[in-house]
Amino acid sequence: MRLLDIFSRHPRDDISARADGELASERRGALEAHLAGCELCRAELDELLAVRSALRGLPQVAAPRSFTLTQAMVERKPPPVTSRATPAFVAMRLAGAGFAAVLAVVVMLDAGGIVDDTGSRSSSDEATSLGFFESDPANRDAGTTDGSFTEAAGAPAARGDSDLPVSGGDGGGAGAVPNNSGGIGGPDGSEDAPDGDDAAPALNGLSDDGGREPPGVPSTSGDLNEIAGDDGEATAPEPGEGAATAFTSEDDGVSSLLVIEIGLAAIAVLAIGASFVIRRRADSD
Amino acid sequence: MDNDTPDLDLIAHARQGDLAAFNVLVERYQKGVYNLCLRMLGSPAPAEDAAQEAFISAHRSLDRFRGQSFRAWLFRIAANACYNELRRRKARPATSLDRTGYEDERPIEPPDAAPSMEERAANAELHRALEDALARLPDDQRLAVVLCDVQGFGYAEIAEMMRVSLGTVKSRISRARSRLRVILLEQRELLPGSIRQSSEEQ
Repeated sequence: MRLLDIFSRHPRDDISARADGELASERRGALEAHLAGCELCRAELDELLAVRSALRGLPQVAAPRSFTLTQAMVERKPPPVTSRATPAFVAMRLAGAGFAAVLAVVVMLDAGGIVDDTGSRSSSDEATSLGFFESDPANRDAGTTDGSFTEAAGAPAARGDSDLPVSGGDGGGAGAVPNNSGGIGGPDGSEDAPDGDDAAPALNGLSDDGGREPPGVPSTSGDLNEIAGDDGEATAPEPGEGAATAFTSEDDGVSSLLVIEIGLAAIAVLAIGASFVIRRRADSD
Repeated sequence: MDNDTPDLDLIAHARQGDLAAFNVLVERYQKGVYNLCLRMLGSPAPAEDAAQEAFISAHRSLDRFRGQSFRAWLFRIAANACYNELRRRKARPATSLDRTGYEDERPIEPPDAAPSMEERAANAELHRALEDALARLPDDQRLAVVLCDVQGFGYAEIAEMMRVSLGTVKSRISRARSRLRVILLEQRELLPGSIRQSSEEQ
């Protein structure tokens, strides 16, 4: 009750300031007048003075040791910076960034196939879907299951598995560049659509015929090859891309690529997450 | 370069890379800085760390010292070091509780000017009660009242050190004393002498 009075109506701050001789002169008169008529505040002032003198009577403890600085302390880097950038933190960050960069490269190589693919698809959706139905049913199934993963991984999967004429076009384009792996794609598309991937390496020898001249391939899938061949020529100047698409056009290559991408993403996320944990520990030390 | 050299002369030398000059300043103020840290943090080991940190960062930012009171400037840095430690404790409450509990076991050293044995015995309980009461204050109030009553700074200096208005300083000190008074009155039997004594003074 008494405390409540003091909190609500009485000039508590002024009383405390007066005890220190810090009350502004223009308020001093008013406070004295209040104190003269208020027993509670006189008691309050007494008790505040008691607290104040008790505080001032607190012993000053001697310093437990000398705090003089040594040259080493002076040359030391500011602690917040060094504590944050612990070697473990830096290592984890770099690892995370490294895996993320590798992931980006893999995805780009993978997506390179998509760019080719969508390019041909935009000019002839019909042809691509036709390719789907013309190819081996078993392979088509594989293609659609793969395609259900993600768009990025699914598109090349569809091309590699069941849409062989299109990948043949890719190979044909790459085949125009001095004969290398692009040759694998060429015969793949033009002659071996029915059983695709298994026979692909064995047909290397045909690359010169089929790969170089996409329009001249046998008529079963000739129209498809023509379209895909255009597409292939557009991207042909990149031999590396030819190699990449050749890689992705293999069935096993696609699924392991997916595994690699997911694995890389997981490792990158784990490493960056670990770096945050490390920094939090370092900061709180 | 000795204990009679004014602060500003020592600072001028220290700025030119004279570490010995700075260390004269350290020796001059280390007791005050350590006691501020001890009152703010409540136990010796963290206070020691904060005091050392304060002197290191004062040396590092010596070029930013402008003008008036080196002591006030230094104590502001020390207060910041204490706030850093208090923040760390809040981020890691379990550990800090362990640490505080452990170090409170260590006896606080007796004062320099040793009073008689009887006086010391009579005051020991009051001091212990005051230290406990101080530890229960909000950080801002504790700093204000320690700077005022333990270190003897004026309101204007405290306002500058804490970067708040004079009115805020006045109110923080008043609230701190009021809380301390309530806490101490709860254990009135501990300090009848002190209360009675001051009542007689009026």
